[in-house]
Amino acid sequence: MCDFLLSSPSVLEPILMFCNSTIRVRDTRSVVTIVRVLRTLLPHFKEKSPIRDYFCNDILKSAITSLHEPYFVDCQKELASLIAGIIHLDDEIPRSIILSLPGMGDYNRVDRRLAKLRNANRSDERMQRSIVLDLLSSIKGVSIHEQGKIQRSAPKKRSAAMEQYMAVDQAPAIVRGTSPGLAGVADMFGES
Amino acid sequence: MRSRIVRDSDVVNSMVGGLLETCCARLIRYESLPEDTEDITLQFLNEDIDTVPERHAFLGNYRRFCADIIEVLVRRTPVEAMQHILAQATNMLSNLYSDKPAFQPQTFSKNSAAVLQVDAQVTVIDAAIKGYLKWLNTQGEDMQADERKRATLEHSFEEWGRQILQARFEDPEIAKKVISLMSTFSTKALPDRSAFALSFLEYMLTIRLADNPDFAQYSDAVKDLERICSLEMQKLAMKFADDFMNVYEQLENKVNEMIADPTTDERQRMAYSAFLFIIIHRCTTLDKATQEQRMRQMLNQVKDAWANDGFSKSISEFQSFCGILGMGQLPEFLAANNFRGVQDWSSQPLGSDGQALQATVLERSQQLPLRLTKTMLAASTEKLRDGSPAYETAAALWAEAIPILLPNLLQLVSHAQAFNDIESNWSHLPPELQQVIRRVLTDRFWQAGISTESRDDFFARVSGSKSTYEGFASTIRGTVRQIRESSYYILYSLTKFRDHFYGISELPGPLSQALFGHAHALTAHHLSVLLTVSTHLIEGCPAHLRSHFLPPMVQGLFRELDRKISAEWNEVARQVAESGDNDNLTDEMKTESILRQLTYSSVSLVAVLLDSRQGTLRHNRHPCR
Repeated sequence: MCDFLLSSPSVLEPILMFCNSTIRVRDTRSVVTIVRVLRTLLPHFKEKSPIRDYFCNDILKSAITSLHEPYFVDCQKELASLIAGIIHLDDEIPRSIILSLPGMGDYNRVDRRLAKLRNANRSDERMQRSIVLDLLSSIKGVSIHEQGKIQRSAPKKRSAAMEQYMAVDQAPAIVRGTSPGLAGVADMFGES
Repeated sequence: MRSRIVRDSDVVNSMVGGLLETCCARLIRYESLPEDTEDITLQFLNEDIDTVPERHAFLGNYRRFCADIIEVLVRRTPVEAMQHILAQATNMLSNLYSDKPAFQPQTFSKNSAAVLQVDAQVTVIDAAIKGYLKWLNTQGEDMQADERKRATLEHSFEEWGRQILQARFEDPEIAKKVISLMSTFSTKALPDRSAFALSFLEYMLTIRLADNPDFAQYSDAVKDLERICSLEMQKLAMKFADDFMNVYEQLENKVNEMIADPTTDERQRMAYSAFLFIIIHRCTTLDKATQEQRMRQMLNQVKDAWANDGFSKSISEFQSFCGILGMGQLPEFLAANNFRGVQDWSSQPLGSDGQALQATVLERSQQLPLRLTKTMLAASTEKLRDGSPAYETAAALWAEAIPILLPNLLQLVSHAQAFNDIESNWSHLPPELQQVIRRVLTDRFWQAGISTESRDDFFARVSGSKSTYEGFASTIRGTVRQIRESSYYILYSLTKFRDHFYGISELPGPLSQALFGHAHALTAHHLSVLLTVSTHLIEGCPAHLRSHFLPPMVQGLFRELDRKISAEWNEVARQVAESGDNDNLTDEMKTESILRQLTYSSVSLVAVLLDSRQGTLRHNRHPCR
């Protein structure tokens, strides 16, 4: 079935469009599943094709958009892996999209990170993810809808409450080692 | 108890009797007892557990554990345990009404003390039979002794069963439970005893309880019993086709007599025909030509119903489709009866013309050939293995019928979905009437964990409002929904004939058009049903027909899923953004929970379709499905 679908772009297209919308849906379980499925497809599109462009453009944008919304904190690992995979697909499009993001004006920094990503071991999921999260760390909490640099469908109006919520400068990335007071728990076991 | 060391230890040995006793005594459905019961166990529970859901969860587990223990005990000492259990059951059944007034239709209740008692006993025996069947599967070293035990047990089962079949139960709910128990005996525990199967069949053919429409609950239960009987008869026919063939003429006479009986409803008539069809189809003693000829004769009913020119014409247009359902004047009726002005539809009684229209709609929808087709398809395909001679016969015969029924079937699906599409079919009405139609199409539903009332209360509320404005609306939307879902079932059943269905050259486009043309107008809940059938249609497609069948189907499905799911999530986001303090959170939760389910089912389909590892695995599995 899979082979059949992959070899019929006209059938695959509506499925991918559905997947693209699903990345933005507020249901963690669905997002995680769909992002994993999309990642498994990447190796099939190494050659330049409209489908590869769709991944590098639309799907990448959706993934980045979700990555930066607080709701999707639990999907960040998966999203970051997908973004890493897409960056490996193509040298040009993902780079230009990332450069167009707010706070990504430092070409050298972006290129250094991208080079680091390309040179890192591709099967090291954790490494790949952390480079992407590091690369995109500066635009956290900013809605890229409002930046106007990415041409998406007409930006939706946000309510005042939503706006306030979005503006909170919270870092969704999990920073290890900041949990306070675990010593007490460790003591319960006699030693740490 | 699952561990041998525990099971065979002296401590447990000395407890077995008491344990069995306790488990049997505790299998009462306590949750069905009235709140103000004097039952000590329940009073104790009420003290201990605060909320109803918690109590349900606790009782559910408790029931499971009791049943498990009985199962294990029977497996351990089948002869003794069964003897005890069956004797106890006989005792209970023969003294059922000794401490309470005899059964009367006017006091019928699904949860009466007698029903609960029988239910508990049936649960005990079901668990025991499960244990017995497991024992059979794992017979040990001493084959001869085991064989002797088996013979003894079978003999006692049959004897006990026959004894039960002597009794008549006037309470339809009890009769239902007894029949499903006897079915377990006959098809599972006594698969080689055809004489018992015949006695059981005779029992079901003669059981008819007098219906009494004055008592709605009782009357519903009687109808339910009839349905269960005919279903069990069909099941029995699949298992004992050859034995029933030996007495076919007698059976046919009896069944024809029942079909001719004017009090038999249409649905039962079909079920009886299907019963005869199954015997002819599944028996191995008839020569192929006679068998095919008789089956074809019966299937011609189906073909003729669909091929009828008047019928084809009446469903060619949306308006005439509404017409044959008696809904041609629906908007006028809604306007004339001021549906718009009434706030609470469930407390507004329906006038006599409304009730008449309601009855007409129900009756008209029964005249569509959907049920007949469903029944015959189920009879032809259930419990059949791909490639078996019976399967081949069925496939060959249905191959003649499929092209005849498909065009009209697709037409029906398409109209039944278009019915919900306000923009395309009701837009000519004034906006306020469109609003009424929209409300008519809004389901009432119940969801575990979200709805505040219990499931039973919900059903009681729905069935209690039959003759109100809400009940009328429910009939309208229910009828259309029934047409959709029956059609889906037929399509799903047709996939079992593989190439005979998927290979039809002009199928894919029109099918996709019929299923997805108006799909966006369905609610998320109804769209999930469509998604389920579409998933079957897509996954069942034979590999060599994929390029023919899949493109329009997959395109249509995902176009609609994408459209619907994105729109609904945006709507949820909008509602959340605009929500105030006093909003109806329950409705919001219901919507969101259904949408989550729909989203995840769609995502799961994508995961299956695009999984390269599973591809080969699923492919290999298909031929035996």
